Amino acid sequence: MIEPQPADRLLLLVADDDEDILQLLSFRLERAGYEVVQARSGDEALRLALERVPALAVLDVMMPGLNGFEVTRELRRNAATSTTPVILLTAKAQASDVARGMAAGADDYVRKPFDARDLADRVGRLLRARPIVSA
Amino acid sequence: MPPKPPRLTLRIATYTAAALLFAAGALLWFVDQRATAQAEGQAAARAHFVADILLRDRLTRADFARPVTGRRRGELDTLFMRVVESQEIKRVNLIAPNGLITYSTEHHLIGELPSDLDGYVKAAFAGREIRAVATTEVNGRRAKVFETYLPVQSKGTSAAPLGVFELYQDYKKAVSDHARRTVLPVGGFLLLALIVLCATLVPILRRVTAAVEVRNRRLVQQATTLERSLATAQEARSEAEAARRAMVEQNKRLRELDRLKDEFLSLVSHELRTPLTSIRGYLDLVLDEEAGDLNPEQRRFLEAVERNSGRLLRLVGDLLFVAQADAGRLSLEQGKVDLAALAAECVEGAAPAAAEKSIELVLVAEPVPAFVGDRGRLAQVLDNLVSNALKFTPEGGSVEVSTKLNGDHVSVEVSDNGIGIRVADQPRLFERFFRSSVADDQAIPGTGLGLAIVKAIVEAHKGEIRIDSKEGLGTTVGIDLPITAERENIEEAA
Repeated sequence: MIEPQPADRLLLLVADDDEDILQLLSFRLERAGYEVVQARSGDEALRLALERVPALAVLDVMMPGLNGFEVTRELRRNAATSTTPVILLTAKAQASDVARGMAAGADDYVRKPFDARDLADRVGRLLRARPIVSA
Repeated sequence: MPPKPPRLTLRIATYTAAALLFAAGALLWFVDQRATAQAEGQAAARAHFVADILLRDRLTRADFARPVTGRRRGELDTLFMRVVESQEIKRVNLIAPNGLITYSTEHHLIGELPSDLDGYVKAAFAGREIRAVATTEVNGRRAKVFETYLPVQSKGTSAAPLGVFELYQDYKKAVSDHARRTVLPVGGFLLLALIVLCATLVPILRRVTAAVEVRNRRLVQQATTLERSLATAQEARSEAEAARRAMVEQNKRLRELDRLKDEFLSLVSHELRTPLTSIRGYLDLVLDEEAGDLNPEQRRFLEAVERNSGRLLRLVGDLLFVAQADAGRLSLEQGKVDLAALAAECVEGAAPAAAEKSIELVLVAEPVPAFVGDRGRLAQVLDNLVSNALKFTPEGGSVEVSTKLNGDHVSVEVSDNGIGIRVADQPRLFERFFRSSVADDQAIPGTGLGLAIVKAIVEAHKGEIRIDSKEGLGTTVGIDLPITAERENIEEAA
């Protein structure tokens, strides 16, 4: 993989209330060449997303405050983030939850326990699939 | 128990006796009435006899005209006293047309007016003969008397009466005693008849009532039996009702427990997954040498950690899966499935493990049509079956995975020439946590969840599992999945 230059590093929002997983994800994604902004709750995720307008958001479904579905819905409602790709992290393996996530406007989902490299691959695929609008 | 009925004989006898006594009393009363009337008739006849035969001819018109005095009163006294003494007559009055008593055997009444002048005396002067029963004072004593008022007419004429005879007879002597002479024998006869009747009736009654009583007792017995069986039935019904309610209650509790168990399993599995995600994530980082180089020993040790955390993760996943299947929440992510490709992937994935045991792992994949199913779940089925085959096949053995089309079913078979399954174990293979005795004997690792999961997934796809195994020769597990259902959805799902 060609690592993007630091100057045009894409900003990713990663939200998870589990600190270890948050750090793990951040580390992996930073290693994959992205800049990461961390959120530890749904509300913080929404605030940061609207403030920083990341290229992509990785959201845990089960978070205190707004959950991943709700944050996704809010992002879709906002003009600045209406097309921002969203990957949901779900501990639930239920098809109905997946359907719910897709209905909320998510682009992809990754089940916990996930392989961090697989996640990074999905992030890359989603970002390549969309025209990158420079800030 | 109903109260014992009183003896029927006694009751019937009492009623009969009462009826007979009443009849006898009524008869006696009737006889008495007739006897009294007859006695009164006789008393009246006596009065006639006294008045017409003994006295009339010896009386003059003057005796009825004005109160009799002097010598004539003495003559009349002599005449009347004899009559009075011999004929049970208590008193005789002669009454003038103007109502005055002209003569009386009781002298103080002479010149008086009789007490019932307006009634009987007037009627007698009208030519009627009057009989009456009264209580009056005779010779200074009150007594019940039989009175007779007789009009006295001059012979051969029908002109107005010259006067009226008033005769008092002692009622008891003149009437009652005579009547009693008739009534008493009748009463005696009746009593005798009654006794005879009773004597005759009682044995008959007893026989009849004995029969009635026997029937009665039988009826009472039947009623009691019926009542008892009714009570028993009712009791049984209420017992059954109570048992049913207890069962419903217990069912509810069991369902609640089952739900709690599922919830618990689900919760535990989720809670275990999160830390496992961290563990494996960080472990991967270290193994990827993101945190610096590893020496071979460190790598070997960390790989052991990774293997075991992987086992733990699979176990948690299996538990969660079983809990979901139990709760009926097993949902499939429907998509287009190519079973031959899936089998190939599975064989490829299992190749290292087979190579480790020097087992020949062969794929005989006949192309089969795609069908709608949950690709991930079906991969899990194949992985479980191949993993089982490798586990229960000794080194140097062989395992074959094959797919083929069977009419409207696609089939996949996993055969091995391993240790086989004992016949006794076969029916229980799909039970959760069941481990075959061979697996236990040979300490082959496993949780006993693999086949339970296979079964749940296959059933969710409306498929069937076949197992053909001979101990010591090997095992073949076949899965048949229908491809007819939801064919129109394939394009959409794909």
